Amino acid sequence: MMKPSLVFPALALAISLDLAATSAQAEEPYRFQELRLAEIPSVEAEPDVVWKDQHYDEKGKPRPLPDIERSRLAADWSGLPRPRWTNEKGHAAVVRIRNLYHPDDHQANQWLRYLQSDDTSPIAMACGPDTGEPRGVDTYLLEASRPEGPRYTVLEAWLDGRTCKGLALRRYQAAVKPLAGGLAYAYRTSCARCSAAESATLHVVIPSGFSSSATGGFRYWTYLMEHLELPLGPGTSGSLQAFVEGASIRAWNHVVPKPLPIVNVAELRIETSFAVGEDEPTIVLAIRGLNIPLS
Amino acid sequence: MDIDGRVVLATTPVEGAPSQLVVLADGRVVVTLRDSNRVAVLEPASAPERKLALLCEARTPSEPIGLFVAPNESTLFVTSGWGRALTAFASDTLEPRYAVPLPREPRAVYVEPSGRRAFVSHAIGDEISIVDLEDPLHSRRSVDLRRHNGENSSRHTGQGFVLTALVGTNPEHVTRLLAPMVSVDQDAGSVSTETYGSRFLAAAPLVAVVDTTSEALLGRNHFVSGQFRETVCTLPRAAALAGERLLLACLGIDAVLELEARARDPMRFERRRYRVPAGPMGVAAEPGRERAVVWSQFAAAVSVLDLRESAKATPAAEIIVSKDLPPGLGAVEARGRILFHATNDPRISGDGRACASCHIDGREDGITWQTPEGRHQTIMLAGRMNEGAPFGWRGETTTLRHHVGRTMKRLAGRGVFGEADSADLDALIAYLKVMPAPVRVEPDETRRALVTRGRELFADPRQGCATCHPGGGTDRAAYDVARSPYRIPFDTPSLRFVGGTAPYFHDGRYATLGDLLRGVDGTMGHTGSLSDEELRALEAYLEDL
Ligand code: HEC
Ligand code: HEC
Repeated sequence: MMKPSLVFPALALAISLDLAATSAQAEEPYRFQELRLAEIPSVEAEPDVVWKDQHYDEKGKPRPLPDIERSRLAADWSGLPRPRWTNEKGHAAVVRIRNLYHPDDHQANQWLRYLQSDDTSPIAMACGPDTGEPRGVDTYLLEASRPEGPRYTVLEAWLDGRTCKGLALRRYQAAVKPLAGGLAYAYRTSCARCSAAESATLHVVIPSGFSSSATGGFRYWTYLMEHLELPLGPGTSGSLQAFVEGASIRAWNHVVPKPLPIVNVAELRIETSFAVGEDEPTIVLAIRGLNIPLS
Repeated sequence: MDIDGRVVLATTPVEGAPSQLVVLADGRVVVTLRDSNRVAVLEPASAPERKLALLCEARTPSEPIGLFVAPNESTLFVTSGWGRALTAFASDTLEPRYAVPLPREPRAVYVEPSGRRAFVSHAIGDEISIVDLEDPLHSRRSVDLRRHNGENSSRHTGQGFVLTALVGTNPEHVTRLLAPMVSVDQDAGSVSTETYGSRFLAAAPLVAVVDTTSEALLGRNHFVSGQFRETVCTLPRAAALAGERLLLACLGIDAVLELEARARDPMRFERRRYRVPAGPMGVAAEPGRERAVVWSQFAAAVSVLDLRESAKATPAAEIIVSKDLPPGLGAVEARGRILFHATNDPRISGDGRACASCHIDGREDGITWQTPEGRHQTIMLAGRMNEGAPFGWRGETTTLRHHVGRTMKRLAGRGVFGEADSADLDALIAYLKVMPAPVRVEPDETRRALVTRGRELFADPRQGCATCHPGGGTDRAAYDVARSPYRIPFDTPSLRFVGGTAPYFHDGRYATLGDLLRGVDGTMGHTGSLSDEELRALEAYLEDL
């Protein structure tokens, strides 16, 4: 029997605790999904936003945005569905506000629970009269039940806190492929300007695990979903291991088109590896604890 | 043996303990004979019920183990464990072509299809050797196996008995080598400990994946995490690929693991495991058939595994090959051999380690462990256990029972108390005394002259070696020749087999015998007045002890 587990995001981010691997579960064999790289959609995108010194003054305080940028819409959300997961079939969205002084420090980010926007702006929660200083605001939107096919939108912006307008630093939209029967959604980014090792990345969005780790790091962890990364460049290898509890799957079922069975703990593992002499990276995926068809 | 009919058809006696065996395309059988320093080619008879006939044989450096036949079958490669060499032979005549010196304890060898490079695993020592076969000098490079979780920690990687090649996403090329290994932590940094090394992941098994193009670990790191489980494979001894599954035979747990070969670390991706008879040391997958055959040395049995997805994880067949024990091994010693390799015996250790985890093949692992008495190297046992007490570097234990009892305590084992346990301890000790010692090749004329000269120098009172090491042995007294900070006297060790146990001194401070002879002048005998040639002679004498 699994003991009910606590959620400790910060800790879970840093290390794999292997808590869920009770001996009974360890005996259950993994089930594997055959995956071909080409099945996973790919978009061109830099691996991360570069935060320029120009955003800060000599004392390290963020500078006000120039007027043109302050009045510019960082993203045009008008064509996009409202990110709301509370509906019967909503979409999952995450807003992340970066630490003012350490925008690259992911651990120092503030994590919002999830977004419940109004109809005018999906990032309304981050804006308002009290938040005068410019700050980094990142939004991620997973439309798993979109009729035309699942899609993921990334917008990382430097915003004027009052107007919610500003500079889009990185923005892309990718078709995503459901993996492990819908327990995960994945896409690839490729970066032509990057080093060979960083030239390609596998992105995996999953319901939040109570213990998870990935070699390529975390983009965010919220109570609804998390976004993990694995390297796909030549000469790299990576592994992802996540243990997802029933409660997380229940929440996830509001987002995905086909509900998953609620189980005690599901374990998801993905490994990437790409030897230099090979044509493309290999991806191995396995799950246990969740009895769903893998195809 | 007829696998389908489950009967032994014929037995061919060979002149030595067979180590590895390869069947050539035309049915000839090549075999390395570990304790007679030979490689032999045997020819099948007209009928399978008849013995194989010896076609030819050749001498090898000491202790031939690993065997690989190049894809075009023109060249045969043999590793020599004690002799530290890779030797190439013409496979039709067994004419030796060349020999390449290697670091300690080479085991498996793999030559890529192009014939350009040979890869050799080592039972100890944190590296996989790469020999450039096209280079007229056969220069050696190596893959560094030390990096763990992004850093060069005090962890070491050993138990490299196997290598298998994986064809990656490019079907033309072998792009990865899979080398099952075990990572241990000598705990170099800590000041005091109750055990040997660190108890955190005391023996963490992994499959090192070598990127053959970049000649580095794939991803440049081992990844160790998690916690100890009883079921892990800490004594990997044989492997075979069946498609994209790696079959790994493990002593101690007596199992063959079916692992996902394409994973970053296949050891962490187990598909299934088969329980097999005691002492699995060989496994072969049958091409095109979902079937594998396993050789279990201790049980002298062959088992057949059904690899189909739906099949059960118990062998489809088990065939006892022989009811006789190997020469020199009685029933008690045979029991001791199993105990020596037992990885999860709570009497022996609390963290799953077996005697064989550190005393690899009954020898030592080249590791200087943090122990309750400071940094001490593992001591070679095989062939050295009949020289009497005391034991250990400090000579604090006076009987083998005493020493082994203390070892179990250090390993957080429960120890042996009851009567049944006591019989097991007797068996373990009986085995220590008969563990096969390395058998060395006879030196040639020049070498013999050099060794004789070395013996004279050793016995010469001006050097003074023999006063403490009479005849290369021990005076059973203790001295502070190491000039340790607290003037701790260390027991004079017997120098039997000292040539194969680098590094030297209790704390491993000298990497080679040459370093030792140059470093000890005045503190341990006198070597300062010896010429280079005399030092070489003394070294040769020590190597042959
Ligand atoms: C963690 C590594 C490790 C394991 C496991 C281990 N040993 Fe040892 N062994 C050592 C070290 C280190 C020494 C030297 C100890 C010292 O002097 O402090 C040693 C010394 C010995 C000696 C003394 C040899 C001599 O000539 O003085 C014997 C005998 C021995 N071990 C037997 C065993 C047996 C039997 C087992 C299994 C029950 C075992 N060892 C398990 C590391 C190990
Ligand atoms: C006073 C006694 C004494 C004399 C004289 C002596 N030894 Fe030693 N020898 C020892 C002791 C004690 C050790 C163990 C030292 C340690 O590990 O701290 C040792 C260790 C060694 C070792 C390393 C063994 C190992 O497994 O690490 C070698 C080799 C050796 N001696 C060779 C020689 C030679 C060659 C001479 C002569 C030049 C010599 N010894 C003279 C006492 C002596």
